Amino acid sequence: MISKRQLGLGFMVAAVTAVVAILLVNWLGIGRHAGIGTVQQAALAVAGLLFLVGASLWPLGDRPA
Amino acid sequence: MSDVAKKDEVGHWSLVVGRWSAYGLIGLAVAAFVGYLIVYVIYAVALFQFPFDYDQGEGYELVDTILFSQGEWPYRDIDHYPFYSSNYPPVFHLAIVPLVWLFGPHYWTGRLVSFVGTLITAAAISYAVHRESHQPGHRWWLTAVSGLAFLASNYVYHVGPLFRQHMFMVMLETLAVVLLAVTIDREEADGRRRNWHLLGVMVLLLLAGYTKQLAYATVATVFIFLFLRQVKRAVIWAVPFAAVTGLIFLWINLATDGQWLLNTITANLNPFIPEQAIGLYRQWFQLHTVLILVAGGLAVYQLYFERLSVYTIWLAIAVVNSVTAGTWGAGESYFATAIAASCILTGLAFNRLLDWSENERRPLWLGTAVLLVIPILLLIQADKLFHMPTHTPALQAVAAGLGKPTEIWAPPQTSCSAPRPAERIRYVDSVGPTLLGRPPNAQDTAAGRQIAAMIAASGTAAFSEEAGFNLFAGQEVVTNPTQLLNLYQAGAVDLTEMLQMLDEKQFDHIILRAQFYPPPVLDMIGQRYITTDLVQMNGFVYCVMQPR
Repeated sequence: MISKRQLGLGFMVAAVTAVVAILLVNWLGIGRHAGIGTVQQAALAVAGLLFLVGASLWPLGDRPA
Repeated sequence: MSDVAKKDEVGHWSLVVGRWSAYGLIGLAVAAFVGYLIVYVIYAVALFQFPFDYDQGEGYELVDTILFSQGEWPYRDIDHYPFYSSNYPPVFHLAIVPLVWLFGPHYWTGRLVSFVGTLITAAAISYAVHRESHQPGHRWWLTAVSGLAFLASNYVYHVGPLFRQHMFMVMLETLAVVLLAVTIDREEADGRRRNWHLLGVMVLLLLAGYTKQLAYATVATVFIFLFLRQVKRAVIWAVPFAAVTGLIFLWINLATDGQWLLNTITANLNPFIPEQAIGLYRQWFQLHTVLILVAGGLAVYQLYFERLSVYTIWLAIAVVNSVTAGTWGAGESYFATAIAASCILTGLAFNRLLDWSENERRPLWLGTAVLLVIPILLLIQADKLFHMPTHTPALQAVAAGLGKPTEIWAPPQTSCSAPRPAERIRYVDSVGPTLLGRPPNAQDTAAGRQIAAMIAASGTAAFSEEAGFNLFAGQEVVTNPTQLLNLYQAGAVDLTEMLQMLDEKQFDHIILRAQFYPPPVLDMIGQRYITTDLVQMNGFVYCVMQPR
């Protein structure tokens, strides 16, 4: 059984992975825009929110997710 | 009578009045959602009687079904005459095949199956809410409204009775998720494994995925939920599920010489349009505000204060996955899964709120207050979803009585002809002017017959953006324009043979609705054909073209 803390950790890892992937799109020149486009900005915001939610689950410890 | 006794008396009567007011409001809320069901049935019955495409592409789903009924695959080499192939998996069409065998190739067969699918989805939503209500009578009104709210969604109304596989996929997804919730609840209650039930969930998921690829979001939901509850079991079930899914994929791909992979995967990687996605998210929220906020509230509560239910995970993943509505060719129907999940969670949230407020330890007025607020919220939701055909005096009177407009004015859609002035439309929708929703009428049928008659008179198949005219005229269906465009954008089609036939004017008629064909095809049509007739059907102006 997965705990709230493990779930939070999973959210944080997913958020960091997403941010790296979004920035990679720019570094590799795959995106449509030279800078960070609207979709990427939205995705970064969602990833940031996911990280914060993950962090807020950390104090809940071993309670089942 | 003492002051205390008087206060008690006043308090008692306030509660009685409050209770009866709440019952009245509940009655109004139930009436509103039953009203939407009636409107939905009116629209569906009108569509069952309409023998042409109402939504572009319906006819190609019928063609897929006809091919399956003849034991043939619809995943074909589109480079060669009749330039037809399909990008949709087979389950929906296979489900309709018996109806085609029995009654012939009619649009109503697929429309009926899709419509019944939405009713089954609504019933599954109601059951999910009903089984978690432990009150005498199970709060039948909340059970009913939870399911009816799904059918009342503008999006479900628009696409539910169409010959489209999307809502059939949502039905299978909903059945899978509800069966999983029931199975795990029962297992955790008595400690007995129910592997046959879980196998049923997997079969439903497999069918959903082979109805439409978008079901991967619900597949992810099921395995994430299983992983949270029983890590080892989730892995044990995921391996054979992936293996069976992959083997079926390989088998179809081998049987179609690779056309399956090309047409269902390569051709489906369409460009993403951010503005379309943002616009649809905004509209979805504005239409379903109460459902989203209440469901979201329960989801947040579960995240922090109890275990996550499969419905909460489903909602979260479905909402994220709805971003795919922004891809070219996608649309509002991509939110249907999120709407189903939000209806279940809203019903559960209201049930729990009522249980909490009606607890003996809480003051009586609290239960009455909650009982008053919930139907008010449901009525607000019903108002936000407003949509109604107003083609009869009775429906006009209802719309006017509710303070809504009885008609709107909008110009017909033109792409291959000059713009036309706005005209009266007897259909009102919170979405605004829509391409879907107005029941087709006798004029629409006559217009379709007029085009089909031209094809029949020529005795040859038309090069048409819709299948219905050729089918009605008893001719072969030539091309699937959106699939051609998908493949063209993916650089996976050779147009040589098609362009040569157009160059040699081998088709007596070209019929355009939205100029979906790839640019080189439209260029050749423009050089070799000229518009001879403009026919308006379902709010679109069709261009009938003949050789120059």
